[in-house]
Amino acid sequence: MLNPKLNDGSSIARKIDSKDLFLKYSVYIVLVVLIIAFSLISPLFLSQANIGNFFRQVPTVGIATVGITMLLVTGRVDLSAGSIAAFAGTAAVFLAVKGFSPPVVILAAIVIGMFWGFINGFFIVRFKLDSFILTLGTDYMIRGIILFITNGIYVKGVPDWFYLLSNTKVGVNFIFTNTLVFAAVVIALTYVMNHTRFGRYCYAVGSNQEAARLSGINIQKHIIKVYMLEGSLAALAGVLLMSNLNVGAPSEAAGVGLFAMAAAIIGGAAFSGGVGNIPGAVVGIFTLEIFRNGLAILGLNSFIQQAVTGGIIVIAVVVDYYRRNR
Amino acid sequence: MKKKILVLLLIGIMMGVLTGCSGSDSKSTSNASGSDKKTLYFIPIVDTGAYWSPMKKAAEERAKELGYNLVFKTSPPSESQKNEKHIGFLQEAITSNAVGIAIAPMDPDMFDRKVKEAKDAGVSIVTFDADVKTKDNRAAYVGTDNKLAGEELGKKAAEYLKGKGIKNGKIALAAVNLTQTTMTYRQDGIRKGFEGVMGADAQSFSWLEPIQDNDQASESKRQLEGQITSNPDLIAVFSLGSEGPDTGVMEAIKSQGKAGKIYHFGFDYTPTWENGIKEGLITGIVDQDSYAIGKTIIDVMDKIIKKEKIQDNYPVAVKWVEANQIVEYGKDKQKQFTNETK
Repeated sequence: MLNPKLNDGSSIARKIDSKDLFLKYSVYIVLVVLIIAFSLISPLFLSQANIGNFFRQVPTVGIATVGITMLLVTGRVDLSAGSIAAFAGTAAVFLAVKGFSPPVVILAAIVIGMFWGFINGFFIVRFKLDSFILTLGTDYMIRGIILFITNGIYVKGVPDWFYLLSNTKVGVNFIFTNTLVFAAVVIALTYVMNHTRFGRYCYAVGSNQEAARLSGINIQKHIIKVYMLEGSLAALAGVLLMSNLNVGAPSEAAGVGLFAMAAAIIGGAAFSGGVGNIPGAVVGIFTLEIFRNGLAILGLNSFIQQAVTGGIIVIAVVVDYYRRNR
Repeated sequence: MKKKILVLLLIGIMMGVLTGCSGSDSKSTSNASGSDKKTLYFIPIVDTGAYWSPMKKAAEERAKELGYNLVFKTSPPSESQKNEKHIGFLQEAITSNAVGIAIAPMDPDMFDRKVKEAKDAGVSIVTFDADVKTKDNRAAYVGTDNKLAGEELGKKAAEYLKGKGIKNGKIALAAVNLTQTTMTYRQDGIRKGFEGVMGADAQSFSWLEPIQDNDQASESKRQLEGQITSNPDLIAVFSLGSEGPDTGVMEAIKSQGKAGKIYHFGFDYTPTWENGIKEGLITGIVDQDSYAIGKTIIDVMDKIIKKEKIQDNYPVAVKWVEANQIVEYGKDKQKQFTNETK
């Protein structure tokens, strides 16, 4: 016969284990539950057409999320990611319309993104500024400049090759070129963060800046590099977005930086830095995007969609709090 | 003793500051521009884009011809405290002793009190694009009647669908901002016009939840793609407000392979429509003559200042333009854009 006390103890242990397990894999559980729930509510959710929509919609914000995750790991944020995407994407469309070749256009856009990233990083390290406030300022500045240049009018006349950057089907009906670019970025950044000195420096600087400095890391240089890389990813996201929209839209991608940050935090990154990884962030953005996609399929009111999406972010962040403090 | 000196010093500084402030006040109330020209304030919702840009150009040109100093005040489309800021512009115009103010109030109630304050201060107000709640407080309204304009679009859409033999199906609508008064009036008008033409068949059409995209084409595209996927019998979409929903709707129709199967009816001309003509992504638009609106506003203000008789309302009619006429129509329209929009 079992000792009742022992029996009680093992039951408590089991409870703790299941709680731990839930907290550890909460994002993955939410993702699976969402997929099952939406597919039960609407048979169209898992239709080829809707899966295609999802894979065409996710790369822009997904690439921005990957960049923001890298920044969060380093203990910094970037609210100007959306404006960088709009600036670089619109500039790319302008150059494409003017007849520049694809490599020149894409390279120019990425250089523009790197430039704005450099500006962000330089001011943050040179004047020891809070990245949240500085990038809030540059967000307004970058958006203002591109709106001024274009006077708020869309750049049209996109050549076919530019449109096909995002919209070419690859093999199956629901995978597009922009999905492949997103996958390539995820794989490359996962490798960089896990297997290179650059990635290790990100975790070191984000965990304990002083310890990182004492161990010989040039923190200022590293932060500028991270911002430049993140800026170039935002620019790439902008090019794919404009290709998807078939115009150069200077007002697009507003709020992308904040949304990407929410996705990265849902996926395990933390504002305090030193924590998080790219696959987790991808799960985070998938969770949010599947939710938004499901709500759109159900034809819910726009305002309710916004409110429910915000609610999901709040719940996910609270779950994340418990996960980190268990 | 030291304390007394310090207190006296502080009082002296405060007096100096206050004197300086009152000095600058009296300076600013003498004339907003510092010249002998009378000052008019022009406060549109934004001053960029295919609708607002010709209006700005017309107002500038007309004010110059008539010898006024025209002060433009507006804020970026993404301004977070837009209403508050624009109410502040009204106050600034009153303080600056402007002789007239032309304003596009974003909400009829919100701007009502401040417009009354302007009237009480002896400043004449002309509203455009949208009106204030208490019509007695403004001298005149210039612009489109948004309900009638919506009705015209609804009628034309219904006639088009009828011509195609379509008697049932679902209808979607995407707008920049569903809560803006102009948008709610247009929505009401569209339904009224559509139902008027369709008659008894109107009951066979159902309207999906309207989409708000805050001028983000990617957002209206995403939401409409979902609606197209879940509603195979979707036959028409209306887009209102700006290039964001216009582009989002066209690209959603394109990505879902529904070009020529879902009919798209838009509001206002933009060169962006040309992207969708060949592929059948736009069926037709109603366009407001914003250049005429801009010119009329200044003319009406001039009449008020010269104490000439004016009307209460200066309606500017919308024009229906089918997709195959948009390019030709746009050639004249683009001449009205300010230089920086070309």
